[in-house]
Amino acid sequence: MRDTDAVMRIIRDVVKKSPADQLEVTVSLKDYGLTRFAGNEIHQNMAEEDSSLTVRVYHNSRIGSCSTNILDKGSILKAVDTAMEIASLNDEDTAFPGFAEREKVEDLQESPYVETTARTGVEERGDITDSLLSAVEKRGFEAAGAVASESSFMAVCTSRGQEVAQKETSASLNMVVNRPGQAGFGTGSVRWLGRDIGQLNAAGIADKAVDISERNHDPVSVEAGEYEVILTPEAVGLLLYYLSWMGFHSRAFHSGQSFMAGRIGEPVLDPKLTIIDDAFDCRGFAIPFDWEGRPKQRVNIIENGAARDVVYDSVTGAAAGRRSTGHALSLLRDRYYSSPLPTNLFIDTGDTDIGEMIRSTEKAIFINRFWYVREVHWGRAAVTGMTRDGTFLVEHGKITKALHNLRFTQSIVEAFSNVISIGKDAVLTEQFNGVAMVPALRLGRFNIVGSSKF
Amino acid sequence: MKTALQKLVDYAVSLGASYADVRWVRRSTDLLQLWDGSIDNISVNESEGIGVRVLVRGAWGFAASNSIDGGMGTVEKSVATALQSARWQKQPVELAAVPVVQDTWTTPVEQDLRKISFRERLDLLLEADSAMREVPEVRQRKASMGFYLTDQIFASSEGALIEQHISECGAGLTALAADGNEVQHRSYPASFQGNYATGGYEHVLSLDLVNGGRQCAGEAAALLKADTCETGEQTIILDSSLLTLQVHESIGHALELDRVFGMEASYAGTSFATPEKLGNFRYGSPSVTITADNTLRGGLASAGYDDEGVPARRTELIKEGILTNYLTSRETAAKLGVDVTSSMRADGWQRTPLIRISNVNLEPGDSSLEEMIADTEEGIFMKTTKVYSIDDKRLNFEFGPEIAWKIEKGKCTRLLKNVRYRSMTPDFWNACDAVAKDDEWKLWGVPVCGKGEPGQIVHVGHGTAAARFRNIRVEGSK
Repeated sequence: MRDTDAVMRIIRDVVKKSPADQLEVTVSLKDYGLTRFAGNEIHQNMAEEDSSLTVRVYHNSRIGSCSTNILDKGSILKAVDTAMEIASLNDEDTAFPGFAEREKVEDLQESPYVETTARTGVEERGDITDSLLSAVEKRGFEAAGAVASESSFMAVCTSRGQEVAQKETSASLNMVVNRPGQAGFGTGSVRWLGRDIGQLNAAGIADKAVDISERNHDPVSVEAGEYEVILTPEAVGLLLYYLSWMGFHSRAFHSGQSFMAGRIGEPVLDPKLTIIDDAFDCRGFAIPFDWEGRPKQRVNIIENGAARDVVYDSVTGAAAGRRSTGHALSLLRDRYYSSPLPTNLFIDTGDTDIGEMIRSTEKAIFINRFWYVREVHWGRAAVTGMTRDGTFLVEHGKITKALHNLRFTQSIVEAFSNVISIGKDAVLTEQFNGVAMVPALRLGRFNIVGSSKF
Repeated sequence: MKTALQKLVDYAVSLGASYADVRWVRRSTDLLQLWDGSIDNISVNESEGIGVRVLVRGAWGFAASNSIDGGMGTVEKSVATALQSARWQKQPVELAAVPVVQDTWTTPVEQDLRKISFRERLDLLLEADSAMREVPEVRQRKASMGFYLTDQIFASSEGALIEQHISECGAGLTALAADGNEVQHRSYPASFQGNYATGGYEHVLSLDLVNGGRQCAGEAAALLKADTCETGEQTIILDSSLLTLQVHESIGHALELDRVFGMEASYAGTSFATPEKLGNFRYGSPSVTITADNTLRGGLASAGYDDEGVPARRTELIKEGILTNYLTSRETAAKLGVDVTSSMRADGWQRTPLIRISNVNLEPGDSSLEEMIADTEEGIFMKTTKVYSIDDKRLNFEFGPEIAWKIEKGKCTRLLKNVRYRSMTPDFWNACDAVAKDDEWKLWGVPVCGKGEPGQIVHVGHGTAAARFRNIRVEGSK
């Protein structure tokens, strides 16, 4: 990665000499690499070095912004000029609360930067891939997946004195395993995410994925209807993400779309569930500030099933007469998503391991992973989606049969209002904007509406 | 720049690459977004860099950097990644032969996007927003407009040297209405950020955003009082914009040959449309002919060449219901022994090209929307995508419209809300008994198609006309 001190010096100078009433600069640098395989062959292998810088100005009560990926002083000053020009054309926005003022952010208990991950290059990813594919091939299966590593730096500086920065690393692995020549059939998948690639047990993950695939044969269908389900943390993470996108943020809450709208303090989910957004918990991807440079706050969203709060950025906070909770997203985010959003979600763990959930169940469907989940009805946080990579029937305390991939259409609010038990171990899962650290869940009712033929 | 890129290609060859290409890309993205009449985002983003792709010992390597001066280092990284790929390479990659081209291509435009001021764009969006605000039930309004200007040069070790200048733009509106019990929304002219096209500002003006804003806000409010529909098998008629999604998800992605070969198995999934089906599989009824065509003027995927330097072309993917081709790359075309379809595209300089949906179209038929409705005793007419989910083989899907109307005795009689329909891909397309003719055929541009690891978002086009499907499972809910 390029010299972060040099980048910060340039940015401080730009902020100091700002022509605007207020100015905010965010910068992000990254070194990223990914090794991708399918059919036990590497078919894509890449290294990427990039940066991005966003300038926002607030001048004569008008906002403008501009971003660039070229970080020399000339390009940054050009970006400032363009942002000023945009602001001059803009309408006045007197409700804008201003950029972040100087304010201390809380220290993290652990460094988010792990040297082992930062030093991981194409050779190290090649070695991990070698371990994965050797383990899979040894058992007579084949795999598709990707090993990725990244070191990155992000910083926010404002002309009102705020300056925050974080250097961090991340690594991930996903793999889907099947019998040779049967890609997409009888699959088993496992995913892993963490700051420290040294924690990745490649051979162990490969074995776990093969175990699922080995069991996933001769699938049968089940009739449409309501079933008890046991969801792995991977499956829970995606449902939690959609619940969050449809309910846990100020825009959904104040527009009336959120299931929590007008219900703060009321029971909305099963009393066994407590959900928090905690950017300081280093089991997740901790970071003490957001893309506006404002300090993150821990937000109790659901406490023992009762609605407590949602997340805000500075704009939606000001509109609601609230302080930002530090959940602004980057201006360069995927346009589908609005800011703010929770990015560090946790579900409190319970006291049941996933094996015990199976053993204590008379009849249920075990779901390893969900796929292509999409919104059906916002007010009920209802979604539709498919299962994949390991769906099984549990009968009399045992997994008895593999099932075809199933379609479900389900209100997540209703599903999370009938929790039988909660797993005692939480797993970090990657979501569209951020992470969710969640346990397995055994849910009393889940609406299966159809089945695929594989 | 061209000379510099050719030197990088030569350097890759000197390091052992049997094939190399270098793409320089500079993309400017201008985005305006209003929430409730206030500016949420008004920004310009510039991104520039190079991507180097090499074949060494029959295996792929790719490296990209925004440091163009450090191009030699990027080439070295690319070769190093290929050498690692070769550790797990069972068959060396072979590339289908394509014409070696030296050319310059520019999107035809009438009103150059560079000459349209922010003020002018903003005024248009504010006017459209005001039109939505006239409807009292509307609680939240969103209006956005995007401009994309891309300059790129492709140089390969085979001697290709292609310069392209691509201009794209579009806009869209969303009105959300609520009455305390119910929340409904309508988009205009389509969901997924509106309608985008290659071309100039004339495309945005053609969208008629102000009248569209008034219409979609009124429909969002009307949906609050709409009926729900009964669950069961029904005749359904999909409007042109909803069919873009249907074509996209159940045909476009299913026919990407890298998916078919399992190369996307871990993320996007595979495909039910396996190679033994080529030439004999009845994908749809004889009313269904599907083409991929990145030569269409205005198509959001239209360009002179793809990111492997393959000239734009038209390919029949499904002819009168029979599967006849796939979307291919040079690698996958060689593997299956089929044509190269000019379908390889990368999301900027940072990413390696993948097989992507280009402009994938349902060819016009001989009916009309009016005739189809008049000829339907009982059914539902559906418009604009709202719900969309499909399995990892592109077979089992559930989609739904933002708005629908009950058809009774050949007439649209009642407004319906919260409608969804569900089917399996070949069952659905074989149930198609009518497609509207070419005067109702419309080309739509969707700027948000995702695929690959790391994720790549590309812009795709779909030309469609309304079509009718018999005996489809429809789900109604409150």
